[in-house]
Amino acid sequence: MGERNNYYRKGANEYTIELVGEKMFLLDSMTAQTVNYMQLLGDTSLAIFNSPMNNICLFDWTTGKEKLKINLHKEGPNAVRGIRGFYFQSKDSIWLYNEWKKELYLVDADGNLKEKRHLQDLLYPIAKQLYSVSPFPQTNVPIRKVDNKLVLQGMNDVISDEVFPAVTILYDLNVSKLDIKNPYPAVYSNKNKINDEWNTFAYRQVPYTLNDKKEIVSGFPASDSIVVYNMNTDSYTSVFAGYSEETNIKPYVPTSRTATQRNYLEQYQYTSILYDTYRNLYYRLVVLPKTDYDLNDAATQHKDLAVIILSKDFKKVGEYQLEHDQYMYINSFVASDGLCINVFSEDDDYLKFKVLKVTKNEK
Amino acid sequence: MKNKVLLFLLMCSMYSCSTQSDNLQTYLNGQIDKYYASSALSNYSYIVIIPRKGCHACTMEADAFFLKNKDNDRYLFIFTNLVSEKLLKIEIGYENVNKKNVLIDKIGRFHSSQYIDSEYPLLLTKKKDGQYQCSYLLDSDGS
Repeated sequence: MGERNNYYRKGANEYTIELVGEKMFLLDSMTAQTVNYMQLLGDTSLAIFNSPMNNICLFDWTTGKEKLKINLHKEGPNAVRGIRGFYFQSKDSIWLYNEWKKELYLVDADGNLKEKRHLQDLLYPIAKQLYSVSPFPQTNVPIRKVDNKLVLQGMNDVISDEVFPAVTILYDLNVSKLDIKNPYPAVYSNKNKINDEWNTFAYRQVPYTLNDKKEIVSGFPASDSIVVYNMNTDSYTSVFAGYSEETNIKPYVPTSRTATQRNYLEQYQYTSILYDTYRNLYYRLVVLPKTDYDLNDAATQHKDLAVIILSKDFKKVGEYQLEHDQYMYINSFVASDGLCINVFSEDDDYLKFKVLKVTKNEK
Repeated sequence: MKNKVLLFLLMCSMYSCSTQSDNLQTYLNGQIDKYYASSALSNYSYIVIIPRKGCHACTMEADAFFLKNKDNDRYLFIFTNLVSEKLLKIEIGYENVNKKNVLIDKIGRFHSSQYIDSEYPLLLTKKKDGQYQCSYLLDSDGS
């Protein structure tokens, strides 16, 4: 991978962010606001996976009201369980991923199982692979489709001496073969101890976004840089996309449970990376360190969030710290309205988002 | 699912319920003495503590144990370390949260970040002296 010559921590101050409003989605009695996977469908619908009920709920993006439930079967020949994420390809073609079994399912809007793909046969035994990878879909680590390939991303799987940890699977639906891409960058250093030293999902689970050039842009949480993988040329570029302050994110071997918690709370962590197709910008979210907390009071442990703004050429053009709130930042995406970030709602019957608009600073 | 539970049990055997859990046992007995008059607990031979965050597979197994034993008056079920009360009601059933042997620990009295064992489902068994012996729920018979 090569570095572009655009390292500049402060960046240009061309853009800022303002809160333009909130979006609220009314939930029924069997749907909780705790959601780990959602997909915005154009600008018309928000689809969320309701894990306890094993269904996908579709909400009207404008009105916030539920308009459809896709009930997945729990038993019988159409049963699909243990779903971690989905990709809404079309109304009657919904891909689902079972993270534990490493299986892909294709269902229709009635939950009928149309196809089943077994990825474990291609991924195991790990000792015979070059790379170790375990997809773990989340809203900011989505399942996507580029041409005939599904993009599945997550973190490393079991590590052994000859195997390198990586995060991306490109699964060719036509030939049922997969390629593994995006090995961890140098900041993760000792590959054999990656689970010991970066032992929380916060630093091993890798968010990504797709742009309109068939590039997978990944934001490794411990790295100031993002990695741009071009699917056409099979090449990588590393680009600085870091916070304005030195982050010094370091590996950590826990000595106790509380020590692990303190280490997480007191360090930076990069999270979602999002491409805004409407404005040709990228947003990289960074979770800021916290020092004033009480380990016995969860309410004091909510970390602040900042947004780094990059141009379409990955130049840093802005940075903005959001006001304090309880951000569920893995549920973040871009709509025509702006950058949407899930926040905790005091009313458990609503799913709530803050909508942030990026504006160009006047010269 | 069974593989996940077996993995958990293996982890338990390597990190057995003895040293740090002795302190957790003391802590939990202290919480019971402090907040719940003994008369309120005299009917219960067992207290099952099910945290809602942490090991998801463990929580699911514990929920299955709850559904199997919820009508057994010897058991008190305490749900703690909540993600949300609504999610709990969805997961265990709205009709079950108001049972007299079900307690929703909204404040987190039966969970402590100091004790890693409190992230797992626990079984407190009443001894002759009125104190409770702590063990992992999923180590038990499960019936």
